[in-house]
Amino acid sequence: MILKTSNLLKTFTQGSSQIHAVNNVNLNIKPGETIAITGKSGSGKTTLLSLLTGLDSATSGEIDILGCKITKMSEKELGSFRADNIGIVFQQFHLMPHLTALENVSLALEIAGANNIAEKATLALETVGLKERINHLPSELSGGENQRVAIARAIVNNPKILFADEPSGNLDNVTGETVMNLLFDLTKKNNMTLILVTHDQQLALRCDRQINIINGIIQ
Amino acid sequence: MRLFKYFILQLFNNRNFTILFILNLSFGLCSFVTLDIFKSSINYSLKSRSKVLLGADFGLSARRPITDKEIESINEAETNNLRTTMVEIFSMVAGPSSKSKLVQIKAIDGSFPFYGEIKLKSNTNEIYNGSTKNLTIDRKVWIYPELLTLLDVKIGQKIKIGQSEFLVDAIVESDNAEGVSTTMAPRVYIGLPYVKDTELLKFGSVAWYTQLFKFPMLSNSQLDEFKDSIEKALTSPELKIYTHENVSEQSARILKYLNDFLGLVSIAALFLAAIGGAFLFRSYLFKQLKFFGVYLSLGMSLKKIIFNQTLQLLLLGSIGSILAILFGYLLTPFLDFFTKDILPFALQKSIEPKTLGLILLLGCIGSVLIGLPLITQLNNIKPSILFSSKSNNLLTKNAWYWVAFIPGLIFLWVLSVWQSNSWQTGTLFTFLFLGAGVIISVVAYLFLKLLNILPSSKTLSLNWAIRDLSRFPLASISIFLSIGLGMLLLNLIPQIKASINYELSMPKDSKLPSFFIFDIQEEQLDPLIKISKDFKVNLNQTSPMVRARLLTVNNKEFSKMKLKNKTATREEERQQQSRNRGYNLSYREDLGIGETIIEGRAFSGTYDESGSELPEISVEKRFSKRVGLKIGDILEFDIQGVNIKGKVINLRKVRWTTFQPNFFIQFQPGVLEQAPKTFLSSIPKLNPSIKQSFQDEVVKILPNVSIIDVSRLVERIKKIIDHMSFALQFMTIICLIAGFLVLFSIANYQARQRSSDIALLKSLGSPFKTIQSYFLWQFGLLTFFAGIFGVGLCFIMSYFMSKLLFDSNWILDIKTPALSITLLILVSMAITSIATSQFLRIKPTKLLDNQS
Amino acid sequence: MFIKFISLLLFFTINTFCFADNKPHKIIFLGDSLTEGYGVSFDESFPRLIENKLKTKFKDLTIVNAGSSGSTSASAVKRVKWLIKSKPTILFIALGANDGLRGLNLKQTEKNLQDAISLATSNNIKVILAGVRLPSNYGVKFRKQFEDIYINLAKNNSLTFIPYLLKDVAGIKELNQSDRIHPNKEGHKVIFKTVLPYIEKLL
Repeated sequence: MILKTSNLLKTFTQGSSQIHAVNNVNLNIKPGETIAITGKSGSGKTTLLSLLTGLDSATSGEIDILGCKITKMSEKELGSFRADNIGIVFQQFHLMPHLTALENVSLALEIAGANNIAEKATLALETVGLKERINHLPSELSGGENQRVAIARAIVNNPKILFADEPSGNLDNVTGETVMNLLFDLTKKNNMTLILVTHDQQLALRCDRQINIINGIIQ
Repeated sequence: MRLFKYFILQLFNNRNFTILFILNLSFGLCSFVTLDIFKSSINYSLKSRSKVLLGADFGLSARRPITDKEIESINEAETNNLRTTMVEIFSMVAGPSSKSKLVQIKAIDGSFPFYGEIKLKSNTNEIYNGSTKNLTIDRKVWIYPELLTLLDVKIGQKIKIGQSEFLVDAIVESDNAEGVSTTMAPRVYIGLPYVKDTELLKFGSVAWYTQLFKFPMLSNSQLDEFKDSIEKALTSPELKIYTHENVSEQSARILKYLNDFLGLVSIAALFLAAIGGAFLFRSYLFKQLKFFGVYLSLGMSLKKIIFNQTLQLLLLGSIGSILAILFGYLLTPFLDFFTKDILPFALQKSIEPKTLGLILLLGCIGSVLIGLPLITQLNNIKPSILFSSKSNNLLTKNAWYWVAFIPGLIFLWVLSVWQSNSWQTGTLFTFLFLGAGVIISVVAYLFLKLLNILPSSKTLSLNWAIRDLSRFPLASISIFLSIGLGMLLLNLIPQIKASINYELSMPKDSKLPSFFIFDIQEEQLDPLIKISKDFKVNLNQTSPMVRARLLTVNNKEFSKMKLKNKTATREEERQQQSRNRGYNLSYREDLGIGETIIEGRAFSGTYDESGSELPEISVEKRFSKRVGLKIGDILEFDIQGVNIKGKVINLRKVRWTTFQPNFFIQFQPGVLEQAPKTFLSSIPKLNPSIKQSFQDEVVKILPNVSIIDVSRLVERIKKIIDHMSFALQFMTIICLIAGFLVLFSIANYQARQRSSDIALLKSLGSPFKTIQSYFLWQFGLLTFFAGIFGVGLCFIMSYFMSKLLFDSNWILDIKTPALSITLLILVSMAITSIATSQFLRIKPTKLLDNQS
Repeated sequence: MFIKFISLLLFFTINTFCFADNKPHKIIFLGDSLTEGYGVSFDESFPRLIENKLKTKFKDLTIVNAGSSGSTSASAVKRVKWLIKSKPTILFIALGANDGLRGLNLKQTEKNLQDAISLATSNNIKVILAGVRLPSNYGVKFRKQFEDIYINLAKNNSLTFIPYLLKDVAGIKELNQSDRIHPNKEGHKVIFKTVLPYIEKLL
């Protein structure tokens, strides 16, 4: 198993009531598998993603990625773990507005402490088809291009797992499709595990397995 | 460190923001530099005036020659010095017609004075600077003009001083030099080498021997330290050791006011710069929070983020402060050029090293400390927020957030103590200021709550403005706080200036004395009144004076009462001595010129001898402190063998700038009338043409009466006070300008940060007018109320500062606050409309993109 | 040791062999700061030293210190008028130093003092006049004129006359305060010794 959770629980307190955003989730994901996590908005899929990426901490339960218990890691260990093993693609891209495409991608490499940064970053951008635009700032690129930069940033460290949160959510249909094709191609080619959060059923069907969440519980 | 380049790139690619930020920061700091340039110039110039009063930096005096050993210890302590010797004696001097008069003989050597000059008038009424060397090579004198008639002498004739004759060389038109001896007789300058010819200095003579020094290398504060060290080294009780600042009590008081005031001005400037800096840095850091989330999601460790961010802040701060210093240097020649004709002093061309250090400290360390509360909260950042587009509020605060403010406050406190050179001033200021900050924040919070429950108005833009203010409480409170505190600071200086000006204000010339007349016997009062009527002048504040010895305080023998603190400095030894002394009592029904009761009640009228109450006594405030008297104390006096008791019912404050005779202890009328007494009185400024004949007439008819010409002293002090008032006024204006610069940078920054709101409203199709007035309302409301509260708190703070630091009455100056609030609103409106109209011209998509 | 023994013996002798004087005596010291004891404590001023010395011998003796710092001869008559109400037997006058120090007209000083003396003697009060001198820097001529006032007054009124109140005190550093004008504690002891015999003679 590349990713395994047991009895994962995340509880928010809202006023006097407690909401279980993620309720007793047990997942087993194999290497190279593509998984779609679907559900309506507010179902808890984004919270689950936050937990799996270590960007938020669980109330209880365990997450095991590549044999490491990330729920037991310190913030610092989590950071370097993320840098080396995990790639994340956000719905809103979250590129640094003041950095060029190349610099945005390099940033991830530098944080991970990699060598040959310029080379690798250029290669990654080439892979996503942005070779010509590597010196542009995010504001000078289209939405689809921005998301491709973000994908390049996510894969540049050759992570074992790629998490994507509605990667086409902010894009028009055609662009969205192109971006998704790119994402599936890349994961397949590099034998990465893809965990995709989406509410688009058609998109979900392209994955090996679909996990539907309602009120924090896997159906 | 490799990653730092991304933080630098962040600054580079965000050029507009970075430049705006650095410029605003350096504007704030630059106002600090400017203030400091003026502050040190004024300080320097008034201190020079005070040096002119003494003619030197430092002096040693005694009623015996200063010993070589004593001079040697000065030389040892400061090798680089110039020295001049002076002897002052009183003697009867005879004119050619053997008319004689008591004069003060001031024997000087050729190097006197080091500062200022003695202006002389020749036979032909020509006025020139006297060279004191001439007196040392010839048996010549310079005399005060009144001696022309008193001794019946002319220039070119001889007068007899002791056993020797001297040629009258010139009339003294003006001189500044105050000496240690009193001014009870007109002055005659002679050369030091000729003193021995007079044979006046021998066994049984009383004279003041003085050594004056100039220390070219010592600054004013070093001079004070020097004095302290000399006081420790030379312990002879006969020795008076003084700097130019404390040779005259009046100038010492003025300079104390000056020091304290300028200290306050510098703290105010410091705090202003800090507020501006704090506002800018905090807004900037808040903007950065989102990026921290991205860094975290990419796996950068928190420690690295904090380290790099701190480094980036340091860089911004350093650039800002270096620019401020550069601006300061560039500005000085301009300031000098524009102020040359209006300022009575030359502008210092250099910035004090201390100021440079302070600015760098403020810009660099200050910026990091300001960021500290936010940095402590980075632990709390939930990068998972990046997944959702819901909220911008990345930050939840815990107790550490508030704790992290403490280092910044301590930093500010230490800086303000350093800057004002006074533990007391710095501390009081910091604490009052903190209190004000807390109050303003609470008020701002309540103000926003109130806005929320206000019924909605018909004006759309006002509605939006009110809604947005209360929906972004944190941002609103931080602007409210910055503007409120800014207004507090920039109005504080004018308020305190008003109080000091009141303290220093002198009555009109007609009320200023030119003569003190004392030892007037009771039966001589009527003849004196008659003379003054003949000369059409009014006697001022004629007061009876009864000599008495204070026997007991609350039935305890006064002379045996211990002073509170035991460290017997020279000053305190003198105080102990004064416990054994008799006191001059007076009585008066009302308060005299320049007197106010600051504690207790007024006299109940004439004493009722048949009643059971004790007579009422009023005591001067400083005296009460010195001797340890308070309201309700029962004092028993021995007046020439008769014992009289009385009860202290009030403490009086006397404004010394009236220069009127005053008494430490005053009884109510009806108690001392029968006791043996003399009277003293003062004569207001006289027309020079009748001055001498009036004096002659008084001496002729009332031969025993002593009449002292104080007009020269009053004139000298008046000049310094005028200069000081100007300095106060000027510093106040500069402080106002500096304050506005800071407020300007806050408003400007704030307005420019709202470009996305403008774009959004524009894209929603609202008319430009509505957008503009929405912003105007928003900032107008905020600045108006923040300004009002700032000013209100300023009144309270200045009240405490006036009372506690300056021991002065609090005077309300309403003009400056009214003007500053008006200006504040105008300025903020202007900036807002300029900024909004600029953004309105740009396409909204561009603005929205910029924000991503 | 020997000296101590002698003085003890003398003390003993005076107390045993002299009967205490029970007549009422009231001595008033009219003067300026020198008499008031400016800068020393009340108990150290010379009138108080005299009082302490004499009160064992004279049971009914009152001494009033009517010294008033800064006062001149002009106040003399007025003050004597006030003081004779308390029926003094002896009036000690040491006034005029301030007149001289301020360079006032000396004829007036002499007249003021004469008026005061006349008022006292006409009330059957015995007057002791103490001569005062000016510091050397006031010039030979003026100092002489000033000194003569007291000699003349004493002669013309046949008064008990102490030629110089500050004899062996003025000008001596150790006996004066740092202003070199006012005697210190030790100086007052010397004045006490100068004045005491004249008082005793009159009692």
